[in-house]
Amino acid sequence: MDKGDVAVAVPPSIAGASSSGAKKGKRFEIKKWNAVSLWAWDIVVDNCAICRNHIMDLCEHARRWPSARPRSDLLFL
Amino acid sequence: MQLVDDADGALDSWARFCDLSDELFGGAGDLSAGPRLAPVVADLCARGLAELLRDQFIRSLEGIFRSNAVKKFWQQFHPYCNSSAVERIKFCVQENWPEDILSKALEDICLEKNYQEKCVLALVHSLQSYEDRSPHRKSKALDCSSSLMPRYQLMVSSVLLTTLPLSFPEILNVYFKKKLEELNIMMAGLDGSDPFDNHDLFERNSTSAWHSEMDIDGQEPGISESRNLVKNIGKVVRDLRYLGFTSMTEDSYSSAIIWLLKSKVHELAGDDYRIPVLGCVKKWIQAVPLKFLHAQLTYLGDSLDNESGSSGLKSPLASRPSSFPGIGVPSEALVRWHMRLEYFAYETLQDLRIGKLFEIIVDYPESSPAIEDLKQCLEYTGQHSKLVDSFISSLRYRLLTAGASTNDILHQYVSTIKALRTIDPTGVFLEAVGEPIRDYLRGRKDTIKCIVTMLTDGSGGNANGTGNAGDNLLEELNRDAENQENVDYDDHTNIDEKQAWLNAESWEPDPVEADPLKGSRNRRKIDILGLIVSIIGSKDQLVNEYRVMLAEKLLNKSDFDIDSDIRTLELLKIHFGESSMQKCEIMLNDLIDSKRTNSNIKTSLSKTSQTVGTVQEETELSHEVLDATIISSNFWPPIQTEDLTVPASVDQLLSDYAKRFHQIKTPRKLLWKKNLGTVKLELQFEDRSMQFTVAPVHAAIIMQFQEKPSWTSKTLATAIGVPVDSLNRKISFWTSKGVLTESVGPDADDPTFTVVDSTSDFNKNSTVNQLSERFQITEEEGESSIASVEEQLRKEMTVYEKFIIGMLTNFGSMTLDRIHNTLKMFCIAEPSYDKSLQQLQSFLSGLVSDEKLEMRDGSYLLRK
Repeated sequence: MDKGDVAVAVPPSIAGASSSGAKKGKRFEIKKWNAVSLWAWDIVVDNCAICRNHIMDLCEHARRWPSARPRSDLLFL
Repeated sequence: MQLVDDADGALDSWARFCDLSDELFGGAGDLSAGPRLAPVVADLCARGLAELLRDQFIRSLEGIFRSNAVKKFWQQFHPYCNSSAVERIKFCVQENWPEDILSKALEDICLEKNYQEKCVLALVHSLQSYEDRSPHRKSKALDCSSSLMPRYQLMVSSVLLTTLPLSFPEILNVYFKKKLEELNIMMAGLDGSDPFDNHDLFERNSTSAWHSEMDIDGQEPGISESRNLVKNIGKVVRDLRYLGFTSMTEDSYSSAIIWLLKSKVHELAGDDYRIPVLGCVKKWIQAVPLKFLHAQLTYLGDSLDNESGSSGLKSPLASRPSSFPGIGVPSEALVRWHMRLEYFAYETLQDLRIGKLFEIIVDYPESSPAIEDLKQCLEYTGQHSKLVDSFISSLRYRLLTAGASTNDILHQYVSTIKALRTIDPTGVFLEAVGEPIRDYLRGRKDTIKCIVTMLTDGSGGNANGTGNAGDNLLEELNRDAENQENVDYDDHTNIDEKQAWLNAESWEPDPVEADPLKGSRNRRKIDILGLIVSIIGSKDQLVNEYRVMLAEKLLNKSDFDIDSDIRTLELLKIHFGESSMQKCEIMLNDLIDSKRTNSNIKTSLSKTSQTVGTVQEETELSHEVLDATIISSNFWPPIQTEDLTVPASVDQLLSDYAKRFHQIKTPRKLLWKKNLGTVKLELQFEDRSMQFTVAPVHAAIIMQFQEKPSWTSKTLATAIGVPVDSLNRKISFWTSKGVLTESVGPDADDPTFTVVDSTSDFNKNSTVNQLSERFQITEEEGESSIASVEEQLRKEMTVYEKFIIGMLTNFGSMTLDRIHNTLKMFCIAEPSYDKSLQQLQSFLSGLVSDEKLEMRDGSYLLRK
């Protein structure tokens, strides 16, 4: 975790000089944005053509065997 | 004429007898009247007056003894006996009281008694002289002479006991207490140089050994002092016995010994549970009380021998002043005393430790020595049920209350399991003690969450610092299990027929306290994790709670480091089964995939940017700023989704990232959850710079103030796409940090927020102390990323509410089982019904409390 601290006060002259280039002498900077997303199938149909389940659901075979590990790159079509 | 002569003769003899007796009594040591007594005694015996003569003699002695010796004896104690309770304390605190007056009084009265015994012996001698001259005739004189001394002894005892002040036993008790304390102090001073080691003590029980030991008195002054002290005590005890106070004396010094032993146990035990005390107590019993008793018994035996040898009147018919069986007895008596004192010590220490068992377990494992002591005491006394009853009472009063946090109760429960496992490896008492705790915890709403935290959070489970720092309870339990398996393996290797037979021989039945309804096993393995799970009843709820907490943790990470989570998952698989933990495994796998995908996408974006050669505008952000966690929603708990408008520059990054993901991972696409994740910010002002790690909504708020330094809450809420009341809650983070200041605008419901450019401005508008600033992720209550288990269940069950209403409309009333089975039959898709009977019951109870349903005679029906 980053530790923040209060920076040394900037001399007025330098602050004045820098403020001419930036808006009102302040700058809000985004250092890191950790985002969250879901992946989904980019297809129109809602149901699998083979097992008729919803496209995002596990097929019957996978559901019946709890120890089966579905591979996220396998296509259920 | 003869008749008259006989009467006159008898009277003359009797008068002479009385005169001689008086002369003898008043002689003050002069026994010259003795020989002249013989003819008179002979004459009276010849006349058949032997018994009368004896009784008169005893009665005279009694009168003199009572009016002189006894009166003076008790007068010594009158000042104390006549005092009030408060004044008596003043006597007790005097250093030499009651030793001085007791010794003096005993000395004086014993001198008197000794002289009277000589008078009795003179009479006995006269009676025997008469008997010698009439050997052929049986005479009552013989009976009188043989019974004279015992009767005298009885008279002495009777007179003393009937005139006894009520406070005299108390005085004796104070005397012995003081002397034993004195001996205790001396022995403490001699610590390390005690000649009485355990082995020799029971061999040094003969007079010759005593004599040989006395030879070295002069060599060690300390030992000599303690021996003199014991001799002085022995002298007092001997004198008291001589006077007939034998049982009272024994009661007094027994009471004093027990009192001192109890004080010693309390002193050694105290409130420090980190030091074993039982061994010290046993050593002390050897050093002080047993030494006292041994020396006293030996001294009294020795003294009796000396006295007997030095007796001036060597008469075969003279009885000893007090009975003392012989040389063999001291050892036996000493052994009995030893056992008695040790039992008392065990019981006292046991009661002390049982009374403080709650504190001892709080301090566990530092308090292990105290628990070991308690275990030994209980093995000796067999009073285990006392422990169970007392401890359960303490738990109800001190732990199972609304004031105790669930976390504290759980930690005490685990410590209780570990501690009682030491005392009772069979687990019988743990069953009795654990049940009230489990019952209580079942009623707490946050029990499951606290259990999961305790098992998986590194700082919680090992507050006492046992094992490796930072290890969670699960790691610790795993090590315990491994150690136990090794032991079992060794046992298994050595098992053969002979060993099996030996095991059978050493078998013991379950303790009496064991519940016969529960299965009996020689050694129940105490499974801490199983006992914790038994609070809830099934592992499913624990697993589900862990999954929710894991999701919360993973979605708020600022990196992809999940090594500790993988380790925890492997441990949980061992205990709960691999299939139960499958979803959690996929969740962790999502993060591993996310790390790899993230790296690929950013590399690709970077190359594209370089190829095009586009110069970034000042408002654009580098792609390096963005990291994404990509999850497979089927395996994650439902997540809270809220609308949020992020800054345009961030939105651009998200869009570029999604496009690249789509290209690489066709035919998959990304659906952003913009309200989730974490953001690191650096804010620069005129006079200061600040860094924060915050939620995306906080970042969206503050970035708006870069465009415009002042916003009203309504316009700001519109800008970032959240409800006004939500905005007001969120923005308080920034006002509390001193970054923004709030002021009332024209509309009271629409306050204005303004950036604080310098501290001088800030001080004018706010009293928040900047020194309290912290860099932390804020999580407001009820606003977590993941819906709680209860919320999930409610949402999932809502789908079935319509089905339930429909069924009840058609069928009127239905039982819980029937509703459950009907839902299972008809709800097989979109989504399928997979709830348990308990979950359904919980949901239906909610509907009843919402007044949508009614329950009557075990059936549910629509409310009218």
